[in-house]
Amino acid sequence: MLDNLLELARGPLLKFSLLLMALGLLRAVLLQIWELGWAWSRAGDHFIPWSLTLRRNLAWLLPWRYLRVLERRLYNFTSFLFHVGVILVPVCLAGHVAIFKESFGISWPQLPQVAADWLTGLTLLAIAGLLFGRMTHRASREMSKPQDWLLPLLCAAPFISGWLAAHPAWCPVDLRAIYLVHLLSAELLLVLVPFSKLVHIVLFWVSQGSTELGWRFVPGSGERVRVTLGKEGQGV
Amino acid sequence: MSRRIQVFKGILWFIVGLAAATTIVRFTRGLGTTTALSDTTPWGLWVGFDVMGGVALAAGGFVVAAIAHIFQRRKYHHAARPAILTAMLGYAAVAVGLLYDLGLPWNIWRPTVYWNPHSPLFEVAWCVMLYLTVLVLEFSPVFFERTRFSRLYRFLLRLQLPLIILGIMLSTLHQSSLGSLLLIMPFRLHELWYTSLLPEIFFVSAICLGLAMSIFESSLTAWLYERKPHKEMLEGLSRFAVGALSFYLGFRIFDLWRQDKIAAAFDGTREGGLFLFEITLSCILPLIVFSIPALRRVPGLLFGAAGICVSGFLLNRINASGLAQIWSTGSNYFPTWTEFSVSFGIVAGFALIFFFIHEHFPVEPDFKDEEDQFKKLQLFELPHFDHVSRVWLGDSNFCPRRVYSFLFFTAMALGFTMTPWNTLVESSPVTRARGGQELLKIGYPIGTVDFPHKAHVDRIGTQQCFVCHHLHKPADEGTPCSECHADMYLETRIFDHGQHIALLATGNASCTACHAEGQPHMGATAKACSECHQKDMMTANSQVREFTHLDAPGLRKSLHELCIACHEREAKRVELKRPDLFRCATCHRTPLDHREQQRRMRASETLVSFRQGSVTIP
Repeated sequence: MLDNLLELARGPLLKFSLLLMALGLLRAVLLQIWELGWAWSRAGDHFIPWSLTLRRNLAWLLPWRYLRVLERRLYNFTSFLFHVGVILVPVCLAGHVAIFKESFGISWPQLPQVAADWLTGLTLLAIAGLLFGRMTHRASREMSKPQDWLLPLLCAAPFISGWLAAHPAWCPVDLRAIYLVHLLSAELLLVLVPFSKLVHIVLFWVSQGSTELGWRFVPGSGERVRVTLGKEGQGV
Repeated sequence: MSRRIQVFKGILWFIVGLAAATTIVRFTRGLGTTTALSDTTPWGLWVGFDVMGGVALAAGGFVVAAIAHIFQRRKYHHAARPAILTAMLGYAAVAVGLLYDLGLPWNIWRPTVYWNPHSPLFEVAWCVMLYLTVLVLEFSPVFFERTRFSRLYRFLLRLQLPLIILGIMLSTLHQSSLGSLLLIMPFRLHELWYTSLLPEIFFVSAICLGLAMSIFESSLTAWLYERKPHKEMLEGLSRFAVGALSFYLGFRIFDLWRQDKIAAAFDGTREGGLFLFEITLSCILPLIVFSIPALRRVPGLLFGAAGICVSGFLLNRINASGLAQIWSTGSNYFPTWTEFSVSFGIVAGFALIFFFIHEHFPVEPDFKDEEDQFKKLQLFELPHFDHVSRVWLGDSNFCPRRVYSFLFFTAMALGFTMTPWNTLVESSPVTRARGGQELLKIGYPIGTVDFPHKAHVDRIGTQQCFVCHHLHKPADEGTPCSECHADMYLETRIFDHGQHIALLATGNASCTACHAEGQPHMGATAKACSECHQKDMMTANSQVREFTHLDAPGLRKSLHELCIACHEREAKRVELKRPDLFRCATCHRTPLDHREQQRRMRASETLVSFRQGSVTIP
């Protein structure tokens, strides 16, 4: 029974979840471009801020950018650390790279096991920290939707089970069960990527541009807004 | 836009998504990975359903156009544009389907350059190409009707009548030629379908199917868009269908009676049952509904009967091009799910294009006016600005483009998961068709046999003509084959008994491996070769006969076999009035006659050679 489930999770389910994630992300990008084009064709200003978008995207990849933000500095930096772990560990783990090499014949640099262990711990701590920050900060607590609480927890599941699977001596239950939990939770996460907030994996790159594009109203519309509000000459 | 059409489109997008995945696998990994086709059954679901069925389904275009524009029945003008649209998309679907089925799809342009006027498929290819062009021109006024290109529109309208006539001509040609295609497989196709009247049967059935498809298609769009169907027009079409269907049924029965084959339908074989099922679906059930006025006035019944009729005729095409050949060839072909997904995916994709054109162009002129009243019934829609509350209403995550694209990409992922990507089938070696050899027969008068002259020259050498064409016997133009092939009259024993004993076991234990115990040990009581040598033996089909004896025929006999079987069959055809075709003397004339023939032949050849200045006299 457990073996059958494991076989299912390792074979078709893994294939399906990876494919659905890739295709779903493609769909998200296509839809975003389509809808951006729709908005752009109706905008008064047809300027497309290519270089600004590129600069912002690159700027937010750097860690000190997060420390320069004035509010909630620790929270922001924890978020950065979390992203480093959540990308590096699954992608560069030696075991995962080996699986990819076996299936597709391509490989890339691997993390040493010690580094992977430390990064896993760091990521789990970061997840806990992020949840704690979200809980204690009033504004962000009230803005949160269910998926904001559930997705970090779901992210933690493959990390915990993965660490246990890599250290069988510490594993309290049947190793196969842990392995199954690892696979299933990771697959659930992959499937959810294109249909939840996690879609920012691809839309993040577009969103800098779309934010810029969205704010470009007809030239002079800012002044008209001020007139409507009775605040001529002031900042809005 | 009603709820029904939205749900229906959602299903179609899902099917198209599955087909998109299998399409990528088919064109990257080949036919072996995606289909159950084999050398014995090279025509499967794709040919039967997409190509043969698709062409027939699109017959509504020329049938309804003829009724509306040639016979000037005004009330069918409503049906003409949707029927022509269906035909246009149907033919486009056939072309797309053919790309899937061709082993080397990039060679599809070849019939346009390399002409083979002997091939019915050549004619079909040209007719389909021309007719698709005609259909596009025939339908194009619809695209320009509500635009500012009014001169172009008027010009295209003036072209309508000649185009319709051309369309009817082309359809008549290739609908029947698809039947002619099957005439070359009398040993493959079951006798209930094989007849010399196959072209005529295909043409008549295309007319029936065209009418049924028109009824089906206009009832379906009416139901999906929640509009009132044109009852009067549908009834009229079903009256036409009664005529066509009863003629077709009568024709089929007459054709079977003519060949004494009616009993074969009731002999309890699988083919007999299949034939009765096909006739019931395509003719009998629809005829009952179409011919009783009280029944055909019920839109649901009419729709159902038309649907059954359409599926019956589709079954006919599938039977003729594959299903009724399967049991006679001993193949165990059953389509894989990828074949089904591609077949339905092509139909679904073109149905989506059909709905798109239907919604954006005046295919049915009174269509646009009724659209608005269904706005409130929509299942999902784009967010829209409400002028009363001055806010945007609706969920942007649940609008058509998001729902459809979700279904499409999910289906695509599912499709990729299910396709057997890793099973790559080795391509089997292609053997040259027999017709590819240079045979002495070409260009020579009757009286010579199939003889690979070039192969002999290559083997013996170009300077050695005299080995066969020796000069010692002046009256003898060529040495008989038996001079070299001394064994040509002998049958060859091809079964090596000693080797079998050595291979199976040593001693007496090997006997019972083939011969049943308690029976005399002889050839008649032994196992059939095919019980062990399943892979080594070619399946019997139109080219290869069933292997029954262990003696390979001698050269003379096998050369004869190539001619005699056909001669005997042709001699039996009463309409040819040549009962002496199978007599030996018909080909093997008296020696004098033969020599005279050869002399004339040689004389004309020498003349030709003289003119080319290449003859050398020894």
